[in-house]
Amino acid sequence: MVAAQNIVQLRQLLAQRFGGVWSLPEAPQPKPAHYIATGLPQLDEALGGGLPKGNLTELLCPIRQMGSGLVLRWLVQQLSCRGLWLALIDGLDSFDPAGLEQATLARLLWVRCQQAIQAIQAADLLLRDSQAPVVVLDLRLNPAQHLRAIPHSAWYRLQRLVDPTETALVVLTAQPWVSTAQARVELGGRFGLDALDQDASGLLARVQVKVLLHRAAAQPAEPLVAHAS
Amino acid sequence: MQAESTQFAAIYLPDFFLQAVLRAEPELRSCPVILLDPQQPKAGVVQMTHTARQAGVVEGMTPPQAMARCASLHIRHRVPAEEQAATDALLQCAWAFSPVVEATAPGVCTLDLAGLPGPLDATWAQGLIDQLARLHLQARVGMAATPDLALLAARCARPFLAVQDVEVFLANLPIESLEPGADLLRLLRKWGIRTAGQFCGLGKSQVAERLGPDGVALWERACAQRLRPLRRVQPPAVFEEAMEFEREVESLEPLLFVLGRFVGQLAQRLALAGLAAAQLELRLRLADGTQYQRLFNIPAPTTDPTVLLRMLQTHLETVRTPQPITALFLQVTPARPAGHQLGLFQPALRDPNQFHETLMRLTALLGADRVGTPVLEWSHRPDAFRLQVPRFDAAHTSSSSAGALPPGLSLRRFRPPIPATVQVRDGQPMFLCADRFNGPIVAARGPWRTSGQWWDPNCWQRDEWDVQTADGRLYRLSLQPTGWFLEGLYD
Repeated sequence: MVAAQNIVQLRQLLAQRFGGVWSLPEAPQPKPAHYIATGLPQLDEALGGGLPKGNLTELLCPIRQMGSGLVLRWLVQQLSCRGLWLALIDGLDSFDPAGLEQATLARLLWVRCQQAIQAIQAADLLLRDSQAPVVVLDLRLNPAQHLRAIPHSAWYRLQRLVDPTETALVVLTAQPWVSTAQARVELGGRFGLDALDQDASGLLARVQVKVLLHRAAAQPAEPLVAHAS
Repeated sequence: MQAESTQFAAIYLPDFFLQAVLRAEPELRSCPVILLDPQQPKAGVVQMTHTARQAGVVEGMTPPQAMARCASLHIRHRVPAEEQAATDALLQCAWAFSPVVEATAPGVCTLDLAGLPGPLDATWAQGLIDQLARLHLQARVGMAATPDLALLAARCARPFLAVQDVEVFLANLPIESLEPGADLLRLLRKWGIRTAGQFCGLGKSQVAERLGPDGVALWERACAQRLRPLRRVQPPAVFEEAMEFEREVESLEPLLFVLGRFVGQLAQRLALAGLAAAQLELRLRLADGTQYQRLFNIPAPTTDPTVLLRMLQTHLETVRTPQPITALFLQVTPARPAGHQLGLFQPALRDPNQFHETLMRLTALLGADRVGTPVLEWSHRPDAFRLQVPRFDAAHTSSSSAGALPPGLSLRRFRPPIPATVQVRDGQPMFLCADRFNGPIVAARGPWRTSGQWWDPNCWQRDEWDVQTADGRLYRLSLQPTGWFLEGLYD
């Protein structure tokens, strides 16, 4: 508390001394919302219009639930139809391209990693490139002990990298791992063996979506300058 | 308007062989440097820098003699590849100023100025000299009515000379400028001939009678009145820079230092020709005589040296040669720079070269077979695909069957498949014991029998099952000749 008071006093002093020259940075304004619609009504509605550009979205599919792989395929298909391409960083090399049309696969950059840390490094490179409209970091099957070894600073770095770009970064996980996620959505459903013969769009409609976190909906913090003045 | 008397320009690079070597080490220009010719049986000084000359070194000295005059002497040897690169650079620069160019001699080229838009004056010549200076070549330019006279003017230029009055020019031109043989020069001095004008005044027949064919050749060179056609040369199809190292290179840093200079030089030469680099070929000669070679295809032809160098650096960071490097060659295949139009509705890659570099970095991180666009193989073998280089900048035709996903859930494959132990009752799997799950199977469908390539040692055969375990998850199991495997998880 004492330290906080000292900082406030220091700010007041600086504002008095150098009021015309020195000013505290204004609080970050929420960026205008730009979304890439996924075409899944329940997901788009939950995220406020689709995958937010320049932000990190965590799609969480618990271990005993199913549907994240189906949603991933749907994303690849939908973006391809719109002429966009998708970078899939496959954290445990589990994506199966069989069954998708070649024209759809032609709009997919598949990065096959074997460890979570490799996937983080690959995401770093792709976000620095900042040309992919959507980057999906699929860590759903990666062991929890490997994900726990990822330092928190890595997630902050990815958020910083994606922030000034037009790229939508999506992280698929089985547990909430991404501390810097702008939005965290839980999705999934329970299916039996009969689901293997059913139409994919019907199965997608059965995937339930629940918003766990949506920072854009929260009120922006008060600007620092209010404390200083 | 250009004067009628200046229809040709000659570019002369003094001490050309030395300049060719010092292009890669321009910081040595102000140092005492001598050049030796390893092809000559008696290694004597061929050319030297001004500093070395001031220190008392003269042509023909042996290296120990020269070192005795100047202890801080740098010794370099003639390198034909570097001379060729310097010649190419000279000619490519000349082509930027005139379409008709003659490679007159090593370090000398002649330009036909007829029909060029003017004014072709000192400013024009200075532009030419400045352009060559950017390529680390110090040039002199002479302009005159005939090619030979232009060359004589270039030899005397500091750094530019236009011959307006031929008689006045020849009258003041020292006879040494014509580079006569030593015996002939001594004889002419005895006769009191000091200038080219005096020598021309002797008359061709008198010179032929007293001095023979050598004298006539010198007289024709001195008069330089003959208007001969230029032996026109064509621009080379490739651009190359080369360097042989005095000491073997064992680390990346010095190699990148030289490559940075090469790339800068090549980019300037390409820009002069209005071209861009479409392909880079890097060759490293190793100490044991073998070569390391690598070809780089550039997705969007460019002259940006930063992009080109980054491409080389990204690759070289992953290269380990078995021997140290003794020589470096960098060749560029040029192409017309392609215009890049971003799509209105289908965004193309903003920077294909940067994307290519990112792919190379990903490949270096993960391996060559782990980054790319999947292409399904024409086979029924499960998980048969290959990866190819993505082409996201190419025009894309949208799929007509939008949203037509294959039926069922998506399979997440375990690569490699996980060995499992399965208890079977009445032909149906009943209990699964594997790394990921250990428990009863509550529902199963199968088997689906597949096989293929029976004629091949890599033939395959399997029975596949879809099973639901007690925890509600769906797996794909396979029974192969080597046992049961957990193929993947439905998700």
